[in-house]
Parts: sequence; C-alpha cells; structure tokens
Amino acid sequence: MCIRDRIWCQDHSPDILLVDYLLPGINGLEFLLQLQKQTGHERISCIIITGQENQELAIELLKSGAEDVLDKNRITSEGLNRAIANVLQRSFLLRQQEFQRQGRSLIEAITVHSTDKSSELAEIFQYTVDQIRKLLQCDRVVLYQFQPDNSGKIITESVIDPTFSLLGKDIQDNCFAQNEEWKEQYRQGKITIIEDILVGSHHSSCYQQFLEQIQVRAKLSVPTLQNGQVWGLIIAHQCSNPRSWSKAEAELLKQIAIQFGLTIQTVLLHQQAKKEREERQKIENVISNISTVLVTKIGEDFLQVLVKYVCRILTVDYVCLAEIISLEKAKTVVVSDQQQIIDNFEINITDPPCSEVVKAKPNTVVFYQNNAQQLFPEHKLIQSGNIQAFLGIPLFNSSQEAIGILTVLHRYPLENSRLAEEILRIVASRAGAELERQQIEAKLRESEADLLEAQEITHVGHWKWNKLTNEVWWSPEIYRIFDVCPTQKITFSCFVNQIHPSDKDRVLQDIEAALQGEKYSNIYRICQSDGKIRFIQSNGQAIFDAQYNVVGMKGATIDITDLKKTQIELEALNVGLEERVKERTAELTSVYRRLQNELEERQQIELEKQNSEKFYSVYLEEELLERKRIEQALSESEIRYRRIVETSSEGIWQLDQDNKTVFVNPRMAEMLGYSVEEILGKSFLNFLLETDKKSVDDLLGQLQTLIRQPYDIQFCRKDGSILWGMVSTRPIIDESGQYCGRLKMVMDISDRKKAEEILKFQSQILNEIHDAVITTNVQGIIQTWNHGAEELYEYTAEEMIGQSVSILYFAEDLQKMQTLVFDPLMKQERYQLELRNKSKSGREIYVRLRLSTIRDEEGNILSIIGCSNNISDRKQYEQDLLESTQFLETVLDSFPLLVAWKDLNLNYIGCNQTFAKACNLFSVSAIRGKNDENVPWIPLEKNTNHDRQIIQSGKAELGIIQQYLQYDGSIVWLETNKVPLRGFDGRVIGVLETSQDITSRKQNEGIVKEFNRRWRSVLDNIQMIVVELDHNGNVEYINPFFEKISQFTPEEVIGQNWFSHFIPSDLYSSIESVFQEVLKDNTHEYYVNPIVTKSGEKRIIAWRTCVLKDNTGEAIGVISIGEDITEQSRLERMKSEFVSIVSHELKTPLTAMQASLSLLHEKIIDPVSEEGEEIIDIAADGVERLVRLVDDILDLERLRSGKLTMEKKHCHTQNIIAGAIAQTKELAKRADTKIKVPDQSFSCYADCDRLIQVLTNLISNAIKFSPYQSTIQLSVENKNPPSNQESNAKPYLLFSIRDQGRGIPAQNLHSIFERFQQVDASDSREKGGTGLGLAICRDIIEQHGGKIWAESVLKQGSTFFFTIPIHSTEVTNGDN
Amino acid sequence: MVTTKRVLIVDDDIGIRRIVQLTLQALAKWDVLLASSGSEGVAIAETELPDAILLDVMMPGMDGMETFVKIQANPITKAIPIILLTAKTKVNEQKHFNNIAIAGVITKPFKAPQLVDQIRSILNWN
Repeated sequence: MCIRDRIWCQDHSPDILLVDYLLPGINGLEFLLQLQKQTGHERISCIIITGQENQELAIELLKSGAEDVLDKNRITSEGLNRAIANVLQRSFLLRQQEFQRQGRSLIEAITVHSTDKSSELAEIFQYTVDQIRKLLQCDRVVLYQFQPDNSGKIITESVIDPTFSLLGKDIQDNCFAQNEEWKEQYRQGKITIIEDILVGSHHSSCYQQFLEQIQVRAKLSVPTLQNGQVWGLIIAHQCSNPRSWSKAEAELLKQIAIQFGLTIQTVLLHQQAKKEREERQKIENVISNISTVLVTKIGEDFLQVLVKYVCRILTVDYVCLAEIISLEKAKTVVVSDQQQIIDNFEINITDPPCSEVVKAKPNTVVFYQNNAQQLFPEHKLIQSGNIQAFLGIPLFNSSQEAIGILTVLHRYPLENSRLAEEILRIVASRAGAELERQQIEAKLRESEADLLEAQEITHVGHWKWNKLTNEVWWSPEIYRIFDVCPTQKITFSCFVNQIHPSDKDRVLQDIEAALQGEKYSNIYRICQSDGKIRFIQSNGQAIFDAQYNVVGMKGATIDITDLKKTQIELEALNVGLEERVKERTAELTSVYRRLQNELEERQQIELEKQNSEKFYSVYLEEELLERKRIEQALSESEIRYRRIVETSSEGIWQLDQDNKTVFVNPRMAEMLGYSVEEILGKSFLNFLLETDKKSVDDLLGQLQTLIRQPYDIQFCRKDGSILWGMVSTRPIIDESGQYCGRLKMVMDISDRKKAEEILKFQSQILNEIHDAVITTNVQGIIQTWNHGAEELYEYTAEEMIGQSVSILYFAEDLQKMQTLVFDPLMKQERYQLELRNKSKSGREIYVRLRLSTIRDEEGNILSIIGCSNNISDRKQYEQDLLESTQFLETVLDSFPLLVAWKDLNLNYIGCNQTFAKACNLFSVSAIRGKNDENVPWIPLEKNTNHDRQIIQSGKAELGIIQQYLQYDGSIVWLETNKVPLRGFDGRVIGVLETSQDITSRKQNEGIVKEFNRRWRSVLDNIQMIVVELDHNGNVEYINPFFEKISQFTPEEVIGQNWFSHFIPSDLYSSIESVFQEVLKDNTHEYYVNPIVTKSGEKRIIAWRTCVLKDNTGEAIGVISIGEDITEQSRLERMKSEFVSIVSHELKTPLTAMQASLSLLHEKIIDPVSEEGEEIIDIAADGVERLVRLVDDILDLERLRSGKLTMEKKHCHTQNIIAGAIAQTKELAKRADTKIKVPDQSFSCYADCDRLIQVLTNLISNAIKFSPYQSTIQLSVENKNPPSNQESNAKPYLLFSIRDQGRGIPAQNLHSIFERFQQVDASDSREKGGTGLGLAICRDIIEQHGGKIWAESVLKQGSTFFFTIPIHSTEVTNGDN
Repeated sequence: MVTTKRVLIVDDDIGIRRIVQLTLQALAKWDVLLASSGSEGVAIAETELPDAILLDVMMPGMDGMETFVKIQANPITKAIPIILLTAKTKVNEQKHFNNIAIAGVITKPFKAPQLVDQIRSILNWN
C-alpha cells in the first residue's frame, strides 16, 4: 500500500475496496484512515479481510469506517459475495439518500430564489442549470424555452466543457412534429429518457441525427409548465458516453421542473408587481408634479403648461386639447409639439377616432396603440402626420356634459399604454375643470357687460361697500348720479359727504340698521358737486362672511329726482286742494247759517211785508233768485259734504263752544252704539270712560284753537263695553276768526289696542319667562333678546341685538352650528336639539334649543325664533348619573352575586355581568324583556311567587333559599334576597333580587349536619361521660351516659355549678382551681377526680379536657370526656394491694430464709445447735410457704388466663372426697377434727384432680377455722331441677362443707372468694394460707360451669357450697 | 455499768421474729422483746419502754402505720425510736414514710448479719 494506491483509489473511485489487514508497511486500517483523510469521505466502501480472530480489532475496524470485516479462515465465496453485495447495497442507498438530499436542497434553493424579490430570471435559470448539472454529474444541462410559434430556443446552459456549449447557436429541430400533440404530452408531464441514441428504436433517425449534431449521446428531459401551459424543457445531456438515467434522477428532475415553473411564475409576478409599483409611482409623481406645476397657472397659460407636460411625460409627438363648440365643431384650444405650441391645428371631431372620444363616457380612454394609420385612412392628420398611436379622453364639466377632448398622437406605437391612460385620466379632470372655468368666466364677463348696459339704460346703478376697507364700489350709473368722475376712488366718507345734511342722520341710521340685518331701503337727497340736489332711492342689504360677520353692504340705487318733483307738485296740489276744501267748507257753513238767519228774518219780514207786497216784490224776487242760487250751491255742497261725512269709515263729531255735540255721523253713533239723536246735544265727555274724562277735559280747556295731535281715548259704549278711539281734533273758526266749536275725527282703534295689549302681555310674558327667547334673521343676526336670555347668557339686549348669534358658541362648535341649527330649519318649521353655548363670562352652558321660523306668504324665512332653557344642571345630573350608573355597574359586575331587577310585570329590566353570564347572555342588556322562564334554572320546589307578594306588600323578603335544577341537570342552591324597587314617589316599581350560590354551603351544611348527627350519636351512645362547662364552671351540656352514671336528669344538671354540685366537697376547691388552670393555660389535659352521683356514690372519673374558645381565642368553657374508672380504680387498687400483698407475702418467707441462711452462713449461729436447727426449720418453712404461694399464684393466673384447661372426665364423688380427705388427714389429725363424708356417690363429668383441690382447700379451711375437736360435715346432693319449657336448668351435684368455726361476717361472704381476701389477714400467716385458695376454688368451679358460695352464722360456723353439672347419675352406696 | 439495749420487735411472722431475735442477741447481745401484732406491740412498748422498736409495716389488723401513730400519740412511748421493716423497696412506695417521725427504714429481705449494723447506724448506737 502506498500513496500511489491511494491516488488510484481517489482517481478511480472504486465502488468497493477489499483490503487485507496485515500488509507490510501499513495495515489495512491505517490505509483506510489515510484514504478517508485524503478523499474527505468519512465512509469508504471497504471490506477488511483479516486472519486474526480478534473481536476487538473487528470492532475497531468497523468503528473506523470499514463496512465489514471478514475472517480469512472462514471466508467463502458465497460469504464474500454476500458481504460485497451488502456493502454495495448500503453504498447505493447512501448515495441515493445523498442524492435526494442534494435534490431537496436544490429545490429549496430554487424556492428561496423565487421568494427573493430581487432575483432576476436569468440568474435563477443559470443557477438552476448549474446545480442540476452538478447533481446529475452530466455533461450539459440546458433550458429550452418554447416560443409562441412553437419553435424554441436554448436560453440558458451549463456545460462541463465549453466545447459542448449550444448557447447562441441556431438550432432547428426539423424533426419535431408540427402538430400540437407534443404540447399536450408535455403538459401531461412527459419525461423523455434516452440512454443511448445509438441504441433503441423509440426515436427516429432524423431525431438521432439531430441529437448527434448537437453532441448528445444520452438525454433526460422534463417539461416545465407555467400557468398550466408548457413553458419549456429542462434537458440533461450526456455528450460523449451513453448513460443510464436512474429513476431517482428522472423524478428529481421532474420535481425541479415543477418548482422551476413555480419559480418562474413567482418571479414574473414579482416583476410585474414591481413594474406596476413603478408605474403607480410614476402616476403619483405626475399628480404631484401637475399640482406643483399648475398651481400658479390659470387660463390659457394653464392649458399650455398642461399639454406640454403631458407631452413630456408621455414622450409623445402631439397633445391636443380642444373645446367642443357643438356636436360637429370643436375649437382647438392648445396643441403641443413636444415643448412648442402649435398654432392653426385643426381638429375634426366628426370623424373617428375623435368622434369616439367625444361620445365616450367620463374617464374612458379611447386608445389605439400602434395601428392608427391603418385604422383611420381617412383621417388627414393621422395620415399626414404618420400617426401610429392615438389616445383620446373626453373632458366634462361639473354637470357631466362633454365640453372638450384631450388627445395624444404619436408617430410610433405606444408601449406603456396603461401609464398613458392613467396620466390622461388625471390630466383630463384638471383640464376639464379649467376649460369649464374658462367658459364660465367668459359667460360671466358677458353677463357683466349686459348688466352694465342694462343699468345704463335704466339709470340704475349698483354699489358695494366693503366695511373692513371702507372702500365703496360704484357702477358707472352711480358715478353719473352722484356726478363724480368715474376714475375717482370712492370711500364711505366720500359717499356720506354727498348726502344732504338733513337726510344724513337718517341715512346713517338706516345703514346702521341694515348692518344689523334689517332691509335697507331709503330715499334721500344728495348734493351734487354743482350744488344741485338730487333725490335717490337706495335699496340694499348687508353682506356677511362665513362666520356671519357683517363685512359690508351691497345694493342698487336709482335717481328719482324727477319722480320726486312730480310727487312734490302733486302733494302741493293736494295740500292746496285740501286748504281750498277746508276754506270752502267753512265758508259754506257760515253761509248756511247766515242764510238760515236771513231766512228767518225774511220770513218775519215777509209776514210784515205781506201787506206791502208790491214794494218789496221786485227786491224779493231778485233776492229770492240770489238766494235760490246760493241755496242750490249750498245744497249741492252740503250733499257732497253729507255724503263724505255719512260714508266715512271714521267717526265725525262736531262740538260747539260748550263742547256739546252738534253733529255726529252715523259711523260715530254706530261705534258708540247710540243713535245720533241720543248723542246730539250731549257733552263729548259723557261718552268717555271715567278715567279718561279728566284728561280730555283738561285738553278741551286748553288752547282750544290749536290743532291737537291725535290721542287715544276710551269711549264707553251704550252697552257698557269699551271702545278705543284715536281722536283727531280741529277747531272750527268762523269768518270772524272766532272759535265756534271743534270737529273731531274718531278712528276705532279697539282692535289695535287689543293687539297692543296682547303684544304687551306677550312681551311681558317673554320677559318674565326664564327661558331665553332670541330671534334672529336668516343670517343669524339677533333681532330680539329677552330677559331670560340676559340672565342665561349674561349679555344685555343692547349688547346682543344686531350681533351674530355665533357669539354664543365656542369656536370649535361653530362648524356644527350651521349644520345642526340652521340647516334643518330650511326643511322643517320646528326643530329642537341640545347643544353647548357660551356665556359672556365664557362659562359653558348646555341648553335645549327649540327653533321655529316666521315665514312670509311665499314661505321664505323672515325670522328664526330660538327658545333656550338651561339644561346644564340636567346635563350635570346626567353626567353624574352616568358616572353613578357606571360605578354601580362596575360594583354590580364585580359582585360574585347574581343581581337582577324586574319591572311590575316581572320582566327583567337589568342585571349584572354575573347574572348575564349565568344566563349565557353576551351582554347585560340582553336580559331586558326576559322573565323567569328564560333563565337556565328551574325551581324544584313550588314557587311561592315571592315577587308578586313583594310588589303588593312593598316589603322585602330576605334569605329565600331554594333548590334549582339547571339545564345541564345539576342542582344548585340559591339564597335570594328580594327587595321592592321604588320610584321617586315611593311607589313600588319593581323588584330587585340578589342571589348567592350556596350549593357548596348547603353541601357543607349537609356535611356539618351529618357530622353533628354523628357527633351527637357518638355523644349519646358513647360509654363515656361528656360534660361541657362554661367559663364559670356551670354545666351547659351532659350526655346520656352521664345521666346513666349519675342518675341526674339534664334538668337537674344543666345550669348548675359543676364543682359545688357534683364534686365531693373536700375536693371542690382543688378541682375548681384545676379548672381555672385549664381555662387559663390549657393544662391538666388529663386528670382524675371523683364525682358524686345522685345516690351519693362516688365514681372515679378520668377526664380528658379540651378548652373551648371563641373566634377571638378567648376561653369560653371546657368540654370534658370522662371515663368511669371506678371499677378500674378499684381493680387497680386491688391489684396494687395484691401486688403489695404478694410482694410482702413473697418477701416475708424470703426474709426468713435469707436471714436464717445468713446467720448460718456467717456462722453466727451454729447449724448443729438447737438454735441452728430452729433457724433451719424457719428457713425450710419459709421455702415451703414460698413454694405454695408461687404455686397458688401460678395456678390462679393459669386459671384466669385460661391456660389451665380442665381435663374433664367422669368422676365419682366418692373418689373425689376420698382424695381430699387423704390430703387433709394429717391436718385433721392435728386439729383432732372429725370429717363426716356422705354415703352416696354420684358421677359427674369434671376434672377430678381439680375438684379434689377444691375440696381439699375447703376442708382445710374448715379445719383451720374450726375449733379443736370439731366436726366437719361433707355432703353431696344430686340436684335435678324439673325441666320445663321455660327453663334450661340442667342437673347438677351440690357439694357442701359445713364447719363449726367462728363464722364469716355477712359482708365478707362474697369477698372471701377474691384474691387475698380473708376475713382476717392474719389467718394466712397462722393458718399457713396464702389467701388465694378460695379464689382458685371459685375459678375451678366456674370453669366447670358451677357456682361456689358460702353461708355462715357468726360463732356457729360456715357452710361452703359448690355445684358441678352432671351428665348422668350413677348412684352407688359408699362408705367413708 | 453498760446497760444493754432493749429492742422490741413487732412482726406478725413468727419466723422473722425469731430470726431477728436470734440475730440481735447473737450479734449485739441486745435484749429482744417480741410482739406478734400491732396492739401487742403498743402494749409492750408502754410497759417495757424499749430503747427501739423494729416495726413491721404490713400486719393484719393494726398495721404498722397505725401502731406507729398510737406509739407516737402516747407521750410515754413517743420518744422511742422506731425503725420500720417493709418489703416496699421503691422510692415512691417509701415516700409516705418521709413525712412521719420514724428513725429509719429497713427493707426486707435483709441479711441478718447486717441488721445490727443497720440498726446501729440508724439509731446511732455504738
């Protein structure tokens, strides 16, 4: 192995290496490692063959990268083949995996490129083919793109050798089918695989030649689609060698082609989007530039700049803007050739394409991109100008009428049509607006000229006064009227100076009024420069700005001098006529009187002269003729006069010097309700109201000859009603100038007075009401301002009348004022709203404004009436209420309780969030209108309809606890409080309910209840005393067991002091102090003390005490559980005594033994001496006692514990007695006691030895406790109680042992059978007893099912009895 | 002339009486008076006025404590020192002896040879 070998491997890349491990110079492993290092491949397909059977070596080789290790000694051909095959397979799979990984990476990379907006297609193409070639390791990879004509060309390639390059070469595949079948096949994803063009017949020779021509030996191609259409092919070529294309390679290339197609699509979309963005940016720039460029241009200048701009932006040859004069005619306004304006450019709108443009809809662009010449052969301009592209857009005015066209003509096809269209649309709107403006301006000028001409003809001039600059503009006519040079600048002062001094004040006043909003109409005189006076009539009105501020006036003026002259003359004529009429009337009146007088005189004279008729006849005839003529004239005059007087609508009243009525016309009489006759001769004053008589009387008395101004007076009609009359008075003066009466003209002004009264009353009302009542004109200038307004807004009427109502608004509200306040009134008579005003002091006032209008007959608004009342408080209340409501809602919503309220119909009108949520509602407002049937819980119990009761009674119901079934089937407990809701008047208006889910509480209550029940059960049934005391030691509770133990009833105990009533008196204070210590320090948890029962018995109780504390931790008492340990104590005491006795009994003989032996041992006493023998006897005796005692104790213990079982068998009483006699014979002998035994013998089933033991003990006791030489009687009886259904008594033997001893006191008859219980304890010492004998006897007898007892008479003797059950009787006679 | 001590033994057990008597006589040459019950012991104490009394605690009838009380109550015998003989070896069992005017306590069983020394020690006899 050497470097050459490694290089060979590196160059040739064998599929597998078989390497011998042991080689000279370098072993196989080292070789492998070096090869790995050199090639950079971690895994090299290598099988190491070794003859060493070394497992560790094999493992190391495998770890180092060897695929397999074969043992030379065991290698076979099959094994070798198999190993090689495995390695190759593994290598293949790894390669496959690597290939797929690289393929995925390439696809990801292509995808990343597609998302990179800056990627260009060419870059992506190149990258793709390069990567594919590296991956497939082929000679060449090309991208072949199909053209629309189904031809194609190579647009990108990657070659291993430049000599294989096809780029730029003209490649024509003539063998390709001309039909479209291939397209569909490619669309279906057809993959073409040729492993060797020289082999196989699936391609034509033509095609083979073609491939050979382009140096293709093997080929793999896959189609790429874009938007479902075949875009092209990705083709991999192997140029020099054939090649087998694997399935994986074909599949990978297919995946790449798919991703490639998507990538192309994505990139194209990006590019398109980019292009559109650029276009949009361009358009925005155009808009911006247009605004910038054109902002200062107007008129034709504007249009010129516009078309030049369009020309430049679109880089076209011509842009033409034409104005449509008629359907057939258009006037070219401006045409631009690049940056030059062309004159004499005619446009024809009757022929297409301009006719199309004219007819097009707004914003529609007629566009011919590149073939205008072909399309419009008749169009002179297009033909002559070689125009290829044409765009046109109509221009519209604000009424959507076509007023012009904007066209673009270009000698070349226009590429970017969309941009051009957009720009045209933008420009068209501006151009149209400008064109319209120019048209309107032209019309305005024309109108103005007409107006001036009309004014000139009619001598009407118009004027305008700018109050701010004080400048006045006059039309030429006014200059003429005022005789002022037309070039002179007129100011307001100039105008005023020309007003006649007498009229100046009046005119200025009127102007002032007009500035306040009143109509200006005035007739006044002016002084011309030459001193001539002219009369002019001027009408006008104030001019307001947007804020309703007066900025001036405008109006018209006409010279009425001629008219005025005529009027004056006419007036003069009228005056003259009136004077003449008056004179004539006076004259006629005096003539009438004179004639009357004369008539009377003449009549008298006539009578006197009847006798001399002849003398006077001629004179009289002449006089009569004169008189007739005068009478005729007078009569006619009178008739005319009377006609005037009688038909006058006014009352005429003539008084004489004495103010007596000499004449009234019918109208006057009618006005007063009197007849003429009723008035004649009466004083004028008689018909006046009393209150007015004096004033009139004064008037009548003063300066009678003066003509008085008309005055108002009240007349009293005949029916008592009042007549208001305006009286004009003229004195009547005769020819001599003497006052002879008055002539009064009376006008009925009752209606006027009524109206005045009403007006006055209304005015009073207006001023008295608190509401602010303001009237304005349409422009908002205040006309009236009542007292209420003064109070509300703090302005006086003088300050406000004539001012704009906008003063009352804050600046930020002015905008709203027009839309909210004034505009609605245009459509409706009345309107009201709430809004904010401002007082004089700047205070904010909220008002409710009610507006109405006063209109004329034509419906035009004359005045606007606004009535405001201050709702600031209410607004504040509302705000406060809103805040309170929000606060309440916040509080309610934070409640964990269910809160809801109902109206009188028990429908819900509100609730909190918790309730709404429980009802599955999205908002609290959703509860409105619902009732109990809509809530998701149903009461389980019958609903007592608390709501109705609450409403009726007005009383709350609290703590209503009910179970409810929820829709999900679960049960819930709710505790509800319901209270009546009341209105302001206290009346019930609904119900408020708050509910709390107490389900867990109920559950807990149930648990507590159960717990209490169990606790109570424990207390009642426990066999222990439970006593509860308060902190004073008084009993609060006892349980039944205490009652049982103490025999006290609860009534006798509860409330009593524990210590004084139930504790022994000698322990009272100590136990009581223990109690205090327990209360204070919780000590003495366990202690024992006696209690006294009702019968006086003392019971020992062991207490466990627990202190009871309240919530604050204060001790409020104790609860003690006591165990009655009386028996236990007794037993303990007995046990203690027993132990003490046993201890003593044991130690006593031990003491004798120890002392004796110690004396002997210490040789204090000689053992062989008499004393020594005595001591030895004492010791021996002690031993015997000890042994007996131990035996008895053990026996007793065994009997008590059941360890000693009775070995029962059939026994004969004779034998038992004999056995006992034998054991007591010696004792009896010593005591010289006779023992009489029974003759009969019975059989029993018992432990014979134990019975002997019992009998021995009893006999021994009898002997011991009988006097010397007494007799002991033994007997046995067979007791067979009658059996019946009621008793189960079985037959038994009754043993009796009677002695003649001292007897046993009755109180000891039971206790003697207890351990160590002897009548006299000394007996145990003297008599040698242990004190356990009878106890042992009792146990033995009781274990046999029998009984043992004693009967005794003191000083006479005792008899001990015991019974033993028998199974059969076998009676025999026996002797002792 | 040295007067020998006279000790009264009050115990219901004849064996113990005899052992103690022999021991005191043999080892201390004391005179020993014997009483088999508490009442007998009181009577002998009154009549003989021994120098000391060895008194068994557990006796039937008048037990040792009653006998002690009676002897103490009698001004004649009050001054006679009394040594209790008791089988109660535990401290809590002997605690009630602490409150009475006894000269000492000797527990059973005892070794006879040491009895004299114990008595001497308690009574402070030579």
